[in-house]
Amino acid sequence: MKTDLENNKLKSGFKTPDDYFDNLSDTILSKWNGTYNSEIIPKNTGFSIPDDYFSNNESKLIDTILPQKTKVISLKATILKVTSIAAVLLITIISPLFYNASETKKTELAAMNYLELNSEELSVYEIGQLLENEDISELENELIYNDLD
Amino acid sequence: MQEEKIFIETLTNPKTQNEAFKRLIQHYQKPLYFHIRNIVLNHDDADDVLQNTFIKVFSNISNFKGESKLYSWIYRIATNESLTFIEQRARKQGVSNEDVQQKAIQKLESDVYFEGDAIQIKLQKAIATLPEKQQLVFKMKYFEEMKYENMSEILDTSVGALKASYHHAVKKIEEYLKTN
Repeated sequence: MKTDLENNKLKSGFKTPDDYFDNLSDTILSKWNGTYNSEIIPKNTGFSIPDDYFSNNESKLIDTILPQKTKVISLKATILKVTSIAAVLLITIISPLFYNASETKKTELAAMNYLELNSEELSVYEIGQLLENEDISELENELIYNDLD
Repeated sequence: MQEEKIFIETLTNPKTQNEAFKRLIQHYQKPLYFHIRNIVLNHDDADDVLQNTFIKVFSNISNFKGESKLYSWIYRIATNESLTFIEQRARKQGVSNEDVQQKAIQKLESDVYFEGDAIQIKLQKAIATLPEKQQLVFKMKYFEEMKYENMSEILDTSVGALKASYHHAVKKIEEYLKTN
């Protein structure tokens, strides 16, 4: 048994633009061909690779990808080396000066000691060899003053 | 059945494909358009979905194994495309599918490709109150006058269930039209 809605059937009310279906197949087919035909979207990307690229590439890639061993320079060792070199240079420069100065003092002291200890046994000739001209002049002056006294 | 098998061969053969596609469009374009239009309601949207449906049919024709009729396979694609279209619009707008449908009904009054009057708009509002599957059953039976056997293949539902669903839909719509 049909209901009121079925007895008084209503239409949906939908319509299309005039001639909508006339060219629809062409529109869809051109969309299909445009989307999927190789004339518009080439199947080949156009990219190429050198000959034997992949046959020799493995080892190169591994060398590139694997991390390289980095040479580690110890800062402590470097400082120690630099300090040692600086110390040696310092000693080399300073020690001759120090040595010369001390040697001069040693020579003078030795001469004075020798004169004091051995003046009685030395001959005039020996004393003359040990004394400089200035020393002799001073001695002469002293003798003159002593004589005056 | 044999005739359909031969036609499918012309659709899959690159040499005859283009001409076969054209025949397929011309044969199905009108009923398929109104099937889609009844779901999405707007002409421009129906046009988009219809074109996408045919493109999808062409793309997948080589996968069609003939387990169902070509007719019901194409209608199934059209139905899924229409429902997916509504879901995507709803997601994009951050609203529900029902909201999308309500908006589309509101726009019908100013739609130049809608020649219905107040009763047709009221009918659309009544249909919108039904669950999605029941809406489909009602529209396919009431507007498209599709046979239950064909609907059964398209919607993968038994004929008995479809009859019951349609009967319930009619009752609800009549009730809505009386009370609103």
